[in-house]
Amino acid sequence: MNALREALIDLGAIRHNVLELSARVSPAALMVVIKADAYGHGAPVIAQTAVDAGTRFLGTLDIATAIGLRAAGIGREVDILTWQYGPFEDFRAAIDAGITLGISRQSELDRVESAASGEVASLHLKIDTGLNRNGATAADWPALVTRALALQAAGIARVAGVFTHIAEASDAEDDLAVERFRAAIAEAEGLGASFAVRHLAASSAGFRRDDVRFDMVRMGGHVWGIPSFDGITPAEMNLRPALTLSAAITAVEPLGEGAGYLVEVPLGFADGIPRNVRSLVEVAVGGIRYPLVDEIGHSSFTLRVDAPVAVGDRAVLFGPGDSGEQTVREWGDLSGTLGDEIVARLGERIERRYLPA
Amino acid sequence: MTSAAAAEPAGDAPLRIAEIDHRAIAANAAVIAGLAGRRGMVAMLGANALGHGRAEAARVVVAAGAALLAVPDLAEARQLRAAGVDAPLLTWLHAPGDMAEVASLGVTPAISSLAQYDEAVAAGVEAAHLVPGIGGAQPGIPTADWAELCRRAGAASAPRITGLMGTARTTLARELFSEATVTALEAELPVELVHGIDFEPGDDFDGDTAVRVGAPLFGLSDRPGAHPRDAGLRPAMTLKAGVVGLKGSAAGVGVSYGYRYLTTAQTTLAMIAIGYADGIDRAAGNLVPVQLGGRRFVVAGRVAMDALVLDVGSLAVRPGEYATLFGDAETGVPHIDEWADALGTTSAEIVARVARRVPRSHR
Repeated sequence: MNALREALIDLGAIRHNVLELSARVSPAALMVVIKADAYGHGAPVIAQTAVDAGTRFLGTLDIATAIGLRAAGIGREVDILTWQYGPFEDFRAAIDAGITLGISRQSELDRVESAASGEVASLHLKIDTGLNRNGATAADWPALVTRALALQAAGIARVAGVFTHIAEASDAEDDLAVERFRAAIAEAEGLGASFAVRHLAASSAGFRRDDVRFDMVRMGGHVWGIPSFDGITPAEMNLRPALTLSAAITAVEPLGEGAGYLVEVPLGFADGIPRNVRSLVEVAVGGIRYPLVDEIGHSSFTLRVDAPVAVGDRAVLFGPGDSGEQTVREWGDLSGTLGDEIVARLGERIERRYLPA
Repeated sequence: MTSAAAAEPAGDAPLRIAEIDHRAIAANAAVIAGLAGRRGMVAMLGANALGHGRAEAARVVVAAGAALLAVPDLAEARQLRAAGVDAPLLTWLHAPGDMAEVASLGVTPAISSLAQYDEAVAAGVEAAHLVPGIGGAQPGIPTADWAELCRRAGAASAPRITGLMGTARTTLARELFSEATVTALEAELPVELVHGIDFEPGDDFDGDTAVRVGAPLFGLSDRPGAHPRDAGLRPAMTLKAGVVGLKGSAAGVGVSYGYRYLTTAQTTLAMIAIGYADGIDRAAGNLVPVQLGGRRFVVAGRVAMDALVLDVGSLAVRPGEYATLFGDAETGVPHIDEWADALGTTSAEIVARVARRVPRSHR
């Protein structure tokens, strides 16, 4: 097969990274966060691969994705956590599917109560420790905990966990968030709560700091082999980038004796290739990297290639870096963003293909 | 108040929505047709019509008089045909072996090499356009081979060469395209549609017999700094996302990852359910305007994967209320051109990257 546009995802690399990261954060557990279709890698396949590698916790952001995973065969031995909802979204289906609900506010507990149907809803309560997005404020926290405990006493819910997100602005800021998190836990315990799973850290802090891991660390980017912080390569972290983005060359124009070839690559900004990488990155053909010429169009860009090349040959934009290509981490660094953003925005025209684990 | 009611989603309304206004596309097509005069219109609907829905857009532009629809590759051509669109269709990105399906779908390929021409002949393709090599944005048939290919094509019964395609962005490329056109006409090829540029209002298309137009149909531009509204074009997409959380905050508090925004007074922070996984540029924080409750706010701090924050001061906001990121500026909401200017990119890129997980509604 020679797909026009292809994201080849090496499930062996995913498995390797899950095992590596699990060992790294142990004795804390690893939650694999597969929101945004596993950052473009395909949520159901990545979820199954992570579960096969021993993961018992998945995070999906929304209920629809979580229920989709249950339907795809991820059983109840795996805890699936959601934490973003429509303001009027019904929780019944999530509770019936044994999905764990992240709870930030009273209105969400209202919906847990009104959805009660005999199945006990598993809850993780969320405290805001400074990021100022989701999570109860310190002022609202005691009332949220008290109400959740009342639902537990009524047999409607089980308060299984407590969590927060941190800003990763600096270690000092994160230390402050950890302190607030501990205080919130202590306050909740004083009200009678007992949390089996406490989690605060994501990829970056969770990888670097053993004092922020609590019972679980949530990771996305690192699982696909994309380092989330500066100055380090995937290899230095013993991680393997899983996704290789390539395309079949659609046109080759010889530019004359010794002048090389103008080559058309059928990937453009409508596929998620950022226009601003045009003069920053290089693309590999036959194991050699070449610069882009001209602007990135909606569906294609052009390279000037020295060595003879044929229509149908593959141009590799990024991958593990084994065959001369750059990594998506390098693309992110060069264009001032995260590799995460680039892979999460890869478009629907790109075919996903999987190498078995 | 009806406008407030309309701003509030009902029970199962989506958290994020891209509204596509067919009247805007029709009006834009009429503006382009006016600029084209007697020249034909080739409507580019690639990348699912830049996220506006290819089948819906196809019906609108065909009704507005488009002579030919163009999508990059066979996958998109197949989808248009499957949606019942039987208008003439051009494709230009081809893999070896594509020509058999090109023939069976009744698609007109733009041919960029001698090998592809031979494949089209062998597959019995009825009509084709040719792409002359002019350097730069789109490789084509080398100048050295052009006259010979035109002669062969003129002598052959099929495919009929009904058009010439180029993506000229420089004066030199324009000249090379014009020379190639002259050669093709001298070979008496039955060329009807000569389209040498991705047309935008203000372009000089001397020598072309067709305007090939994509982004402007949707009120957008492919060029940084361009303002299509100055030519009377209207953005066809309005992007909205719901408020999922509200939080009182003191002054001097950092917001979102990296704390790149600090509140300056006691305020309310509204969390909006849209982020970079939805296609919003991660760099848009502290730069782009978003409308909420009739007022404009600049995104506070980093855009995260699934959310962004607005510092709304004392504004009364209800959970579930929609914020409008960009849309029809006639209604006072931010214009996509403001976003493009703030981000230093093109409106076409911003809109094309609005992700599939954002549902579309059509009117």
